Amino acid sequence: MRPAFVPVLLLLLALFSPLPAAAQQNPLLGGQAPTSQEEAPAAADNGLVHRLEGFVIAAQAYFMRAIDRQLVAIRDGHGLPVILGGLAIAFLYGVFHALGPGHGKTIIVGYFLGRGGSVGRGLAMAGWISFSHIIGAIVIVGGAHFILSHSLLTPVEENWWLRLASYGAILAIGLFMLVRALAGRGHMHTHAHGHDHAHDHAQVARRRREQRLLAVAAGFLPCSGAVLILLFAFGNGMLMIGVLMTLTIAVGMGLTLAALGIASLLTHRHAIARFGNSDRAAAILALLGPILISLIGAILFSGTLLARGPY
Amino acid sequence: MRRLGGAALAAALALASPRPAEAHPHVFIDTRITFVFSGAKMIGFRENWLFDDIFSDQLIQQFDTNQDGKFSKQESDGVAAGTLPNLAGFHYFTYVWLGGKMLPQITPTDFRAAIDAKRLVSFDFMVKLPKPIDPVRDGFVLEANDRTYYVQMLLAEKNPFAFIGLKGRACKPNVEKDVANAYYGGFVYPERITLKCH
Repeated sequence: MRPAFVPVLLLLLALFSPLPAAAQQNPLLGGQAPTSQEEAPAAADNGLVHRLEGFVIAAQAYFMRAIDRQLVAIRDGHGLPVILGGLAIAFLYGVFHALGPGHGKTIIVGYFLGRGGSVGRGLAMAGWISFSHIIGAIVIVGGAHFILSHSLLTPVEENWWLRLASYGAILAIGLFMLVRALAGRGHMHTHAHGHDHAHDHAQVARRRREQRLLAVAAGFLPCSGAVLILLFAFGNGMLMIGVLMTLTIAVGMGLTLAALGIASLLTHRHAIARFGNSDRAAAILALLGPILISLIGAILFSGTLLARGPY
Repeated sequence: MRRLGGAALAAALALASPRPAEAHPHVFIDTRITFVFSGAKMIGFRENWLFDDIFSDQLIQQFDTNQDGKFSKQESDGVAAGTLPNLAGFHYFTYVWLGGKMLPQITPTDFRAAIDAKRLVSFDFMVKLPKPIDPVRDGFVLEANDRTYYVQMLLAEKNPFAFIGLKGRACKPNVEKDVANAYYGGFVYPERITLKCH
C-alpha cells in the first residue's frame, strides 16, 4: 500500500490551490470591469503548495511571452532554428498550462480517482481533453479568419455562455453517470458471481463513450493562449506555423494530464485492492466517480452563474 | 483506514479547487514612469506602456487604418477612443496613494499611441495629481497593474524611471513587492513604487 501514498501526494500538490476567481475579458478591448471582490487582495500564503502553484503561474506567463517573441522571430524570417525553438517552448507552455488554473486537470483526476480505468484510457482521455481545447481554438480563429475575414479581439474562451455550456455539460454527464450507477447497483452483485462477458463489453464501450464526452465537454472551451497565437499567425500569413505550434501545446498538455490521470487511476486501484472486497465498500467506490464529476460540474456551473451575468 | 482517509482527502482537495478560472496573462506591458515636477513640487507623472509583439500586432491591425506603420494623431485618438473608456473600469491599471490614502480616481490626459521601429505599440499619457504635492511631506506611492491579471505589467528592465522639471530636491524611486496587496489568488505581487525625496 505504500506506493499509493505517492500518487495521493502528487494529486494533493497538483490540485490544492485557491484558484483565482472568475474570468475577465481583455480590459483594453471590451472586457468587463472587475467586481470589488475580484480585486480584493488575497490573504498572504507561503505554504509549499501555494509556492508550487505560484511557480506554475509564473512559468506559464514566462512561456507565453517567450512564444510571443518566437512568433515574431519566425515572422521576420529567422528560419528553422527559430521554428524548432518555438515548438519546444510551445510544448513547455502546454505542460504548465495544464497544471495552471483551469478545470481540465480537476476533471481527469476526479474521473479516474472515482471511476478507475486502464492506463490506456487515461492516456486517451488526456489526449481528448488537450486536443479539443486546441482544436476548438483552431476552428474558431480559422472560421473567423476565412469566413468573416476579420480577427477576433476578445478571447472566445471567456465567453460567458460558452463557459456555462461546458460546465453544464460536465454536470449533466456526471448526473447521468450517477443515475446509471444507481440503477445498475442491483446488477453488481450478480456481476461479481456469474461473469457475463457481453455485459462487460457493453460496459467498456459505455465507459469509453462517457470518457470521450466528458473530455470534450471539459476541453471544448478554446485555449485563449492558442487563440492569440493563431490570430497573430493567420494575420501574418503563417498558417502552418500557427497550427503546428498550437498542436504542440496540446501535446505538452496531454503529457501533464496523462500523468495526473494515471496517478489517479493507480490511486483508485490501490483503494479497490484494499477495500473492494466488501460489498458495501465496492458499492460506495462505484458511486464515487459519478459523484465527484457531478460535484465538480455543479461547482463550476454555479460559480460561473453567480460570478456575473452576460450583461 | 488511514489510506482511505488519504484518498478521500485527495478527492476533497481536488473538489476544493474547481472554480471557474483562467490561464492568464495574455498581454504583457513594460511600464516606464516619468515623474513630472515643477521645481520641488510634484504635479503628476507620465506612464509609458510598451506592449508585447502579439498584442501590438492586434492593435495595429485594428487602429492603423491607413496601414502606414505609424499612428497619426487621428489614429492615436482612435486608439484612445477604442481603449480608454474600457480601461476606466480597470482604474487605468494605475493606483496612487498620497499620504497613505488611495486616490479614488485616475484621469489620464495627453494620450498618445505610437508604433516603434520594431512594430511595438506604446501608450503614453499624463496623470495629474489633484494638486501639486511636496513628496517629502505628502508621501507618494504608485502601483501600475491589472488586478485581473489579463495583462501582466512589469516595470521595464532598463531605465524604468525618469524625472522632468525636478529642482531643489533629490528623489529616488524605491521598488518593492507589495505582499499585502497580492492578487490573482495571491500569486501575483504588485510592484510598489515609493518616491523617496530629501
